[in-house]
Amino acid sequence: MDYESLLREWVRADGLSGAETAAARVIAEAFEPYCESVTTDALLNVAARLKRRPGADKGPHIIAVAHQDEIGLMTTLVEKDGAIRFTRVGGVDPRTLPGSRVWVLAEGHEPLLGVIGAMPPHLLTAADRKKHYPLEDLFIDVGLPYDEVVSLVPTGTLVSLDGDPVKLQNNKIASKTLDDRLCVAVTLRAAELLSRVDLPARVTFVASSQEEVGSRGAQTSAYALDPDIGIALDVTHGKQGAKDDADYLPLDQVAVGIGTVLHPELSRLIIETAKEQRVPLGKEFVASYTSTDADNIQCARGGVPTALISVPVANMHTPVEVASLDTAEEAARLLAAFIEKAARKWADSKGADWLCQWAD
Amino acid sequence: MPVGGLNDMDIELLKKLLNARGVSGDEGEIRSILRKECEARGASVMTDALGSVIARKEKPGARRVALDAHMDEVGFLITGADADGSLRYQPVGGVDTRVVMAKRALVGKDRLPGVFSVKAIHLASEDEMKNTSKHKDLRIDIGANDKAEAERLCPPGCTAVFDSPPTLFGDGRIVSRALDDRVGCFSLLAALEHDDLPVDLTCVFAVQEEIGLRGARAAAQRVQPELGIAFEGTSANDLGDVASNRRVTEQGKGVAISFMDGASIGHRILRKSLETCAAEHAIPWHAKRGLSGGNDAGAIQRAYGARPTAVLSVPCRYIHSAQSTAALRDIAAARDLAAAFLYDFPKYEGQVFN
Repeated sequence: MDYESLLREWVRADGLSGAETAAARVIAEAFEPYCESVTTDALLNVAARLKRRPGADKGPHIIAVAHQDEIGLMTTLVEKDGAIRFTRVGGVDPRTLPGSRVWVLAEGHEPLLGVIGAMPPHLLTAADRKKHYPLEDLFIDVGLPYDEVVSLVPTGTLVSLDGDPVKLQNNKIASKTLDDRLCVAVTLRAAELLSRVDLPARVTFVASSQEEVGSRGAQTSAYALDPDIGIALDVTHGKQGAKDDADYLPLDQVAVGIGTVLHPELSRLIIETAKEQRVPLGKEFVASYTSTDADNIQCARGGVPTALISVPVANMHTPVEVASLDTAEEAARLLAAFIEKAARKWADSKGADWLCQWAD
Repeated sequence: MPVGGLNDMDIELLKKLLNARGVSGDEGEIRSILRKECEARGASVMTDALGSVIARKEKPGARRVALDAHMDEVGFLITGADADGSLRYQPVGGVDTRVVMAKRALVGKDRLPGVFSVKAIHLASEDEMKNTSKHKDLRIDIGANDKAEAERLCPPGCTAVFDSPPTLFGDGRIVSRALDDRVGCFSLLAALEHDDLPVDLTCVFAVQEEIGLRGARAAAQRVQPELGIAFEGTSANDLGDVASNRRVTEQGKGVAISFMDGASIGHRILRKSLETCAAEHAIPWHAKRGLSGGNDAGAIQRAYGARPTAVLSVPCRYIHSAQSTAALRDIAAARDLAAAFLYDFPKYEGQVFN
């Protein structure tokens, strides 16, 4: 699988939280060859059910979830000079906006290219020059007069960030929306790998919606699919050039989540799988909730043993998220091998007992 | 003489000028393009010791008029790499740190893609979210794994520019880096297309404007024009509910004529002549109201004795950022006023030189 060309197509397919239609379409298409059914629900979650092999129905139902939605902006007001004010959909970093290109997704019209402007520094007070622009002082300039802007861009129009993938050194890539389309790509690659295996499990890959506004799509997907085991795949904070020594993970390692929300037996099994598969693995410790789809999968139905596999990304929530495509491939290998291992373990222990035997 | 917009060939030329790299002191790429374009227009061309391109269409006995535009642009000088392979840099010219956060860069002659790293919003402290960073604390990431790899690919001393391909948008506008001052270079190349101007014309494509009008100062002493006009891309600040008294120029309302800025007070009669000429040819123009900033006119005016100078500008929004914008009709207006004034020069020269 060619991650770069796949992401080039996927990143261009708009999918702001709550408006994932275009993203859902291209993602669903990509899963078709490996699946017996691919459906999209009322919240635009894509559920892709891997073709079953004989014996699959005796095994567990495993879901692997990566979110398809992306952060962006939404228009709120058009000033008398045609400048468009906006708010955020998800956690866009206002510091990164001045001097960016954006796409105003005017309905029934080609997207309008816009530039995010602000008062130039030489007209600010000395004190304000040392501060980042507050979101409410920024505006989008689409280079059109007021009348046209008002008719094309009603309040509530969505705005996507601009940032096609570009290849950096060492098979790294910089792009918008690697959070979390990169992990959707990882699940697609795992589907490809698992399509060659006699797997004693049913597997459903989910491209979830509305993660960036509170993991809402994963909540309904996990309820509807009623899985035995859940795996969330999301990006985590990777080492970046910004001067800092926080607990970042290196970009060249997949990470397993270890923490309160995550089932210890599954985390342990991921570590074991990584050793067998010679996948270099980092550990991401999460004391509280994970802020990923894992949090809502865990509490679905009667409770779902849930794991988290992370791909480190630098500059998260910017149009220049940086990740290693080699690491993405390692994550896919790990995911596929882990699903197979968990399925076989389930078969060997004739059910979920091994996940319910707490040492206490 | 046609007064109007830009045709496809004009836009192609403009994009070619905008795509070329030319950070102050590292203007080689834009310089060689300008030399070729000047030669193609039949000018005699030389490059001076600082790197400015001087293109002349000599007319013995006529007044020596110089048009100036600067070829250099703001950008970044790579100064080294950290152990983790991220590049340190200094800004070349005035680049606000707020416009580099999470932008893309092209580093060195080979245009290696890089990005300005940002600590993610989830991790940034309240102070980091509120107060700006300093360039010395920011880094460019080209994906190198260590210092040696980074410095081999991007040797300290090489320069970087924003990655911002020129793109048309809106109602006939263009977004790109370096509109300041490739729009000026565009007007000068257009002037050089005319073979029957009643002046001895020299076009100076100056280097190092962004760090103190240096190329123009040296070139003016060599060229010694009797009159100089600087062509600029200047800030607009006309959008976003800005009070009218804070608007510098107005994008889409033609070429801006300056009466004064931080570097020079224009020659009053020359300025009036340009205004009259614009009105006579129905070329849209307006006065630049803001006084901040300075440009090569300041150098030409005083470099080797007093000379009458003026400044004609294309209003640019978000100047010195990755995404400056200009209206094509303003670029056309600056070009048209240059040509109209040079053709009509005999009508005005008596007043200007008395």
